[in-house]
Amino acid sequence: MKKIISILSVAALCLAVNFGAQAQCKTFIKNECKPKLAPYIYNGQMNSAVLNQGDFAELMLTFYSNQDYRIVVCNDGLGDVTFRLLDLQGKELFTNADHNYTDTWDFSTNSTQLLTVEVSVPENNGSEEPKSGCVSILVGFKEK
Amino acid sequence: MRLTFKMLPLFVVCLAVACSSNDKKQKEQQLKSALTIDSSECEATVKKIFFNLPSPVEITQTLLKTEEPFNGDMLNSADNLEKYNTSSSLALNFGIYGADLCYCRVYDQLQEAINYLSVIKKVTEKLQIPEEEGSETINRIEQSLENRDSIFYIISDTYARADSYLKENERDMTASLILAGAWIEGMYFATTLAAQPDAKDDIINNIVDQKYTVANLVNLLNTYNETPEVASLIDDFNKVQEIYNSIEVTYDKSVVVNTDQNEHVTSIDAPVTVKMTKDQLKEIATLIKAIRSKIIG
Repeated sequence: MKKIISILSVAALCLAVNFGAQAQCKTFIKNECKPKLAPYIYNGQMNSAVLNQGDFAELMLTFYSNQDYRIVVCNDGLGDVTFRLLDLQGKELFTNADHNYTDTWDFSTNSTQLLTVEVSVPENNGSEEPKSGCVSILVGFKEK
Repeated sequence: MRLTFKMLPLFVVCLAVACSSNDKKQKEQQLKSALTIDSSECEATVKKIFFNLPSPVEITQTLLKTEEPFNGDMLNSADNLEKYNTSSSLALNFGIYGADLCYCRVYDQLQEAINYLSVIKKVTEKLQIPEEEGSETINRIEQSLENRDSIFYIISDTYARADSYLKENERDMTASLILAGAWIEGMYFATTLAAQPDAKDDIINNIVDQKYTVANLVNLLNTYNETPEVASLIDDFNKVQEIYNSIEVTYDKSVVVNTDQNEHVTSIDAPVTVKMTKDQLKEIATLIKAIRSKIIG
């Protein structure tokens, strides 16, 4: 009986951790990330996850030729998160590593393409406590 | 103490699941797989993949960049709302009505837009999306109807709040179906306009451009292929994708990328040649019409 109660307690704690992390992530996105999309219109899709050091995220997105796009990749305390734009052949078209790990960049294509936004959280260098945090990829668009 | 150690792997599993995704099915799968591996494997690198689709605003802006006159006959009647009683049908038609609203706004049809606002309010209620996440934003639209741009921002915000609320509450499938509905309605507008004898090349090119989005759409819906209503929809979209796959696309390998450090802008010049035949366009139009009919009832 004690064991069942303990397991239920852990399950409740897990749920609390999940909801707590998600709620914190939502607040972070609303306050820190969404404002960076202006004056672009937010595409309305919340691409966010709580990631650990060394984790990856990918966003598959159609870039239409008659729209301009803004990508915002922000994170809560994970340091210099890298984001790259890749074409279907895996060719790197952009990396924020060349631009001081900026979290916001604008893109324009002259032909409609399916591109991948690849986000990687830096590995733990071993000298610090492992960290995890909210990572969000937001997309804004506007007519050319 | 022994109990504590027994609970530790469970706690690690729970944490891994809690931190990785808010999708119920994914959680179940992760929990199952996590239970069969040792704790060291729980520290393996996670790769989270998202598929984005154009929002109702983006799809109407993209597909309707044309000078065709307003055609109210293309819209889903507000009277149909009472037919939709399942979560899936409501979600799909939430997307359809959203695209209808944007279409009305593109053509400055204010009264029609107000009617669709009212319908969307009711759909959000039926989908049990709290007022502050959905229809409260719509009240702002009613106060800003004169300003087209602010309407688009507010509509986007409405869908963003709904998307966020649904994903937080493990209703990712509903969020995806909303986007699928908006896409199908946008495609229905475009293919209907493209069927006219004097259809402009722009609209046909815009339909061709959806080749990439339909691939994303199928990938997104495949996450929920165990739900019968979604499985049926995937079958339909697979047929659309088959036609798109048969369209001849030639990529010029000389991709030119220009980055403006000061403006924080990267321009990608990647010439693509696409050849869509009239038969392919007709087939796509027929399938889109059939899927839409099935959705709107």
